[in-house]
Amino acid sequence: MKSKSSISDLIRKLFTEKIIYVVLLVLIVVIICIEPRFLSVSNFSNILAQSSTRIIIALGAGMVLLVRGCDLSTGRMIGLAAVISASMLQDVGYAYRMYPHLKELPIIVPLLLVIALCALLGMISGICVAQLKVPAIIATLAMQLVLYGASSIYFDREPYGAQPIGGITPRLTKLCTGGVKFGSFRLPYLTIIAIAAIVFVWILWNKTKFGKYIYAVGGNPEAAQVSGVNVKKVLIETYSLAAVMYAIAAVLEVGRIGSASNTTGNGYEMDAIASCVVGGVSMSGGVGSVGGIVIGVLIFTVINYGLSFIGVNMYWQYIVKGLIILLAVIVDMRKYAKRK
Amino acid sequence: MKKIVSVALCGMMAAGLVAVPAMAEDLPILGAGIYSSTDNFNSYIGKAIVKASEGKFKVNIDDGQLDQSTQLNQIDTAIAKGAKAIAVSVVDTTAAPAIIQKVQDAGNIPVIFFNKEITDKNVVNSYDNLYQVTSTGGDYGATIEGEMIAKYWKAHPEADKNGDGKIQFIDLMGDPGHTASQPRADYVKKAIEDAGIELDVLEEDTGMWDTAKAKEKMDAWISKYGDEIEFINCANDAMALGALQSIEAAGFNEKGAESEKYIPVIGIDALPEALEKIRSGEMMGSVLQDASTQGTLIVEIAQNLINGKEPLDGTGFKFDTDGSKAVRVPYKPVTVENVDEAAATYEGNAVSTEVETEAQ
Repeated sequence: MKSKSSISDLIRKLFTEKIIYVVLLVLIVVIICIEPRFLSVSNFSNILAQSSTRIIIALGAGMVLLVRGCDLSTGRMIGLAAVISASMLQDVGYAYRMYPHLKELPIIVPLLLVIALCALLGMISGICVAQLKVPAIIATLAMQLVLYGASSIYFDREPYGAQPIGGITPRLTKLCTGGVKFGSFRLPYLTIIAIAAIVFVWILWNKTKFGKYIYAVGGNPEAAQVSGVNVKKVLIETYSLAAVMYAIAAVLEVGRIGSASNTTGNGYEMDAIASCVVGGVSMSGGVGSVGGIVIGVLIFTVINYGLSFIGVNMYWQYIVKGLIILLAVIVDMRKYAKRK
Repeated sequence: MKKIVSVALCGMMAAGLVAVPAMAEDLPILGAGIYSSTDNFNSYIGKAIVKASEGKFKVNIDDGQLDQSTQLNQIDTAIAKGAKAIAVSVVDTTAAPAIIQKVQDAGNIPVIFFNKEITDKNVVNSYDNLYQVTSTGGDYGATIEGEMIAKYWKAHPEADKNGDGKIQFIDLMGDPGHTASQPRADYVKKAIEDAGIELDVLEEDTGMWDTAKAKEKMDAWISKYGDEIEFINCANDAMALGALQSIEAAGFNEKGAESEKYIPVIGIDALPEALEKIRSGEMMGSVLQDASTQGTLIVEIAQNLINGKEPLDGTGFKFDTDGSKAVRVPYKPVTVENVDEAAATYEGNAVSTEVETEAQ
């Protein structure tokens, strides 16, 4: 009797709370039915590679969502970090270098530079939100505009003007497009980096004091304040740390795409927020997990990749993505409505 | 808080007021605007206008940010500052009448539309002091691209990997909202078919002019078709570079044209990086749209009109005879044979020398 009810419970749960995974499964099955070639190791490897940087970005954006924030500057911050790091990572043999006399730099130098820069910029967003009480959406919207302007100025100048910054050193592109072979399966290096990021963020959120503070501040800032959490400090650190994630992702994007321009990163904040929401991060803060975010990103990448694979036109892809976001949020709302 | 904001705003406005007269010289003002700095070629014309304006005009390139109302405001501002001529690449070609109204109201000052052509003849003829500078024809370089593909195909019988006589073809199109997207897709295929070659289009979708998007599309396609693909055609170089990045990760084209697994990739724009890839053989070719000549021409037309001369006086160019009042600067095919010539476009003072050779 008991087991029967638990099965029906599971099924009910599957069609309410876990409906998003059902949708993913259905989509994959439909894609495979239309195009059996979808089931190949190279596709799997591609999906992993395409998800990797997105996971790093979404973990940053998700961290901000956890503290009841919302970072609209994600994409443009990636753009700025991308053009700056790309300009310093052009191959010395490339004819159209932004800094023709720049010596060959180890990848770590521009990486640390953009990490420092983004940490500072994230801190500014954090201070606006925490100290000056600017609504997060406004503070980061302003930041987004400033960053786009700044990256366009940096990018669009003599001698070559608004040309994509290309000729990226193979040391970086090989790292971002290569992988470890396991038979016919290739595990992209990017995925290994993403896994490292996942582990790091998981420990941060679940095993450290800072992580507990993030959830506390997101769940109920007043209560957190009363119980002795320095809410402002936590907010500023969260924005700053998220920006560090963007900086790392930006350098990896440069290697993956092989160039950077002022359009690099455009719209990434929406992809990241959508992935978080689909992965169960609540827009009202305090709720969300690393695993959920990873699944959220994978869902979108599978949709993106799978629909391209079977030749579904871009316009339809937008519609499918929009519906999935809506579905995820409706399920999310129902979950909380029930609890209340 | 409110106070801080208003003080900051006042400060910014004051700075703006100070900045404007500080630049003032006797040169006439050319009000110039591009439709978006995200379009490489468009902003490259902007650069060329600035370069060509040296000693002739005071000019600042406004970025329309893909928003027609922003651009109209920028034109208002330029006119209010006393612009003697307007050169603009419209965000939305149907907004041309609104711009014409503004330049008429400003005392019939000349307006030059560039890059995006106003195709409605009624609009073009509604104002005398209107001219256009664009690239050849409504095909946006795609005919030349198609001819290059056909020429390559005929010269390389081994390119027909499966021997069926048809090109197994991948087509990455531009942003569907952009005027050049559909024509580029249509004319390239038309040119190939006109050359008597049959096409088998495996996939055709938009890459939104974007390297990252094109790469992601290509990741899926190269995994699906692999070496079945016989040609990758891209509506611009940014996408061609993304497609190339993708197929190289799959083991194609890494050693240029001599690679064991090779798929010819072609784009349009002749971006510096694409030129490098053409030089190394990783890309088969590109098409150069001549930004520097266009920018120089725009400035020369504006100067002629202000001085009451014939618009094309001394430029060596002629208007197209189709009544569009447009000068069409030709596209050039770029392959490994003439890649250095194309690269010269990007060198320091290419603008002035370029014009002289064009004029002959």
